[in-house]
Amino acid sequence: MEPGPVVIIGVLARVDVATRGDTRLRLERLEGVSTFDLASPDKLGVLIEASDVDAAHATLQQQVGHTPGVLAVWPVSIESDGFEPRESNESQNG
Amino acid sequence: MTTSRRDFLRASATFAVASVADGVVPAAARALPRTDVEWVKSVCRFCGTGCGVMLGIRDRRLVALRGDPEHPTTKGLVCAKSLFLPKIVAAENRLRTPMIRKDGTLQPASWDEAMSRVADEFARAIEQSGPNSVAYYGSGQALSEESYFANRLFKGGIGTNNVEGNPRLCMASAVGGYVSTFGKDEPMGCYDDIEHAKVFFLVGSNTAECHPVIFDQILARKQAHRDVLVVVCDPRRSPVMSIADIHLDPIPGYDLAVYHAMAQVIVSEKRHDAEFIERHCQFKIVEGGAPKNVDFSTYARWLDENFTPARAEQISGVPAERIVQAARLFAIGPTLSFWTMGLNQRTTGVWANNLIHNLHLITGQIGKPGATPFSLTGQPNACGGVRDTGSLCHILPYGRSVTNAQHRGEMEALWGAAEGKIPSQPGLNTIEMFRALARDEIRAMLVLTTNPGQSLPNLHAYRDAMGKPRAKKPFLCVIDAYPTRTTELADVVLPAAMWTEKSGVFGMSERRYQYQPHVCDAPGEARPDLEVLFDLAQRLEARGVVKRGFSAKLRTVDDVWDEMRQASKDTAYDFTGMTRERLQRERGLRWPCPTESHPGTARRYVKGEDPCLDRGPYADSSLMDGELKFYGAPEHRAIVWLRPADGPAEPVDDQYPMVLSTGRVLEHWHTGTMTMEAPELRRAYPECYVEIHPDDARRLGVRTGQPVRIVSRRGEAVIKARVVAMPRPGMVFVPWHWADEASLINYVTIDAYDPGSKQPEFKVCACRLEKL
Ligand code: SF4
Repeated sequence: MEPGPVVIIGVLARVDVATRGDTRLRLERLEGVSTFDLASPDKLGVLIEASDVDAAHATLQQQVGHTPGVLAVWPVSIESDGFEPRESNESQNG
Repeated sequence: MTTSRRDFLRASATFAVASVADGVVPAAARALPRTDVEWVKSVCRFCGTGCGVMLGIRDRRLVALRGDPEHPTTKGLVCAKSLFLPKIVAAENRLRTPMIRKDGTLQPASWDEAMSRVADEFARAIEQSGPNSVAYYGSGQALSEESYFANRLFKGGIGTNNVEGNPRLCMASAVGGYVSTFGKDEPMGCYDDIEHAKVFFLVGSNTAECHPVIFDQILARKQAHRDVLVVVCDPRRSPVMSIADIHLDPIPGYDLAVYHAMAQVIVSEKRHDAEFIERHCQFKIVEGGAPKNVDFSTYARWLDENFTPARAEQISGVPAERIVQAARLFAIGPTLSFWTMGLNQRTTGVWANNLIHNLHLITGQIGKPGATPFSLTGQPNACGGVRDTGSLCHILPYGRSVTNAQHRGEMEALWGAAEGKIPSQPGLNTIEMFRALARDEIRAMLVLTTNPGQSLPNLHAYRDAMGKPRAKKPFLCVIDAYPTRTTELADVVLPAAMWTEKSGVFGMSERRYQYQPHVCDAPGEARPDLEVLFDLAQRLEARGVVKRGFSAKLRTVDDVWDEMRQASKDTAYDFTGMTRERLQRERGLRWPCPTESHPGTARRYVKGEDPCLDRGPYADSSLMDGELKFYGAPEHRAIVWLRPADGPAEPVDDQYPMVLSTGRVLEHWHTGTMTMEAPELRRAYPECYVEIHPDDARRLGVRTGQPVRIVSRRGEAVIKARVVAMPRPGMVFVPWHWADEASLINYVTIDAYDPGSKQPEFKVCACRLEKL
């Protein structure tokens, strides 16, 4: 059994073909990140798994997006068991 | 959660990525289809790119979202903002119950109590001060049916043209440009043109951050084709510079000379398309307040006398040789121009739009694959919802004008309004409407799905107009899904359902109308805006200020859509063929689409593509397929305008020596009402900042992170400096998403507006910086 909620962001990454292997290894070393092949060599599928959307997005923006060899990242899917409100008291509006 | 549950989520995400990337789905993902959710197609709630999304719904809750790989133009790509939509919609901060201000504070009330108060206030104002004492201020985020019905109620029911919306702040100059050049609003091209263009002219558009999925398509085209070139015209080195081959960086507000000089190069080097000009263009100059016809040789001479590249360099600061290079590329084409607020939010916005159209017309770079002028929109439904439905003070649905008696008669007949009910003069435009509110002449105002308490320029004046306590303070009702800087000023606040919680149509930048389904329940007592407007109409009928039965034939959102289709019939917008069932089934349709078997129109004005040239009032059987006809323009010839190259309303001077320009960042959207609800997006940019060029920072002795005071003739803001070589020297740039008092940059901006489009000049005002 898993301890808590899970959010998975599916990412299409454009990668430098020449360094694709190294890029993939670097990505796989990141916590919560796994990769899979796509038909085009200049693209890589990336899954980011975290306890909530914010943590997954932080991994995407701060780590996956800055990994050497990654040219651009497109988060094309988000999957979870639900998006119940949390941290809502941080809002600065109103 | 069990391990297999997680495996299902992983397989589902893998499936989504693979479908977008190349359609080859790994076996592991195919083996574990996510069957616990129902996938429903919809459209992103944010920008005018209009990305198709798939919503994963379980138990009327949104549990997954992916780009829709079957979407014909966005093809499954979405940007980070849309990933947060499920969370933003579920935010605790949503408004859940109506509120009425009592003893100075907003207090919960029943719907009946709140709606009675709203109806009483509007009825009293209309009875005591006439229909023009009330006003509606809507939004490019409302659904088309909502904007259409509000417009119908105010113009045809109450009898006032005081109907405006926030698109006045973002795209009115684009409307003015299209109408004054081609006779009809809205782009003639489409996103498919990206696949064919060889030259992209990005003018005043931070496409990379504001329309990221469009930007990716340009990027992909450039990566795949080495001969694709990008010309950027922007005084700020925004992220689009990553793909720029030529950068034109005019002094803010002085770019019109650059476009004329490009035309001068094209004409003097004989790179123009003489045959196209002969068949499709006319030339006009305004003299003595009236437009006067001139010929091509006069235009050529006028350009030579006034706008050589050397002269344009003196005016704009852009090196002449770069203007020459850009002009030569433009003429080669196929050239696709994209622009947004940098061109529109100006006191010369309509002229600037005209000059981009001029370049396309004199080179014939229009009406063929990859060649078109294309204004992008910032909101999801500014086009379909506000422009097309005529929900502004001077227009009526689908290209009609309030000043045209026949047009008024057509709408009065369709709406069942008394003859002469729609006033024959335009109502108050946005700035004048809020000025009238400040003078207490507008006695009751309804604001729907927008936040003028943060987004209007010269904000002190208009926040006071909306909220300052005074003896005869006008009544303000605000409908929104979240608390905002405007709801805090309201007398009544009504909680709104949003996005997945109601159904309707969004119309995005390329004339594509897309259906958004109702798949989730709204929180608390929140209601769809259309229900609230229906309720208000009935209560105003009961109070005798709207004709009894005026809205009786419209009971559902589908009824409203059917009336809208009728209103579009035989206009240039004709979307009679877009039945509800079709829109539910298909990935949006581009108008014109006059029959249920018509596939929608990629390019307007082109015989064989635009059905308006085959049937109806604009039909022309003498044309061959592929031939062009600007059927909306006088004598069917588009107008090349000889416009002055005036500068901004408020030039810099010794007291205010810098230029302030405002804009956006990738993670946030407009006043932050939605995106600030996502903690990670908020953390990405926790506070406002002002970009200052290193030369200016050195002179001022300011370093990154230090607070500076930005002062104009209207107000000030205190914001931390970010020293970066992005704005031109002499210019500062501030994003306008933050709601805290010190960061309200619109206290500083100017409310001078374009005399044609009435759009304020957010992009240029004079300011000074004070180190704190
Ligand atoms: S580009 Fe615009 S429409 Fe597309 S996902 Fe991003 S915000 Fe939404």
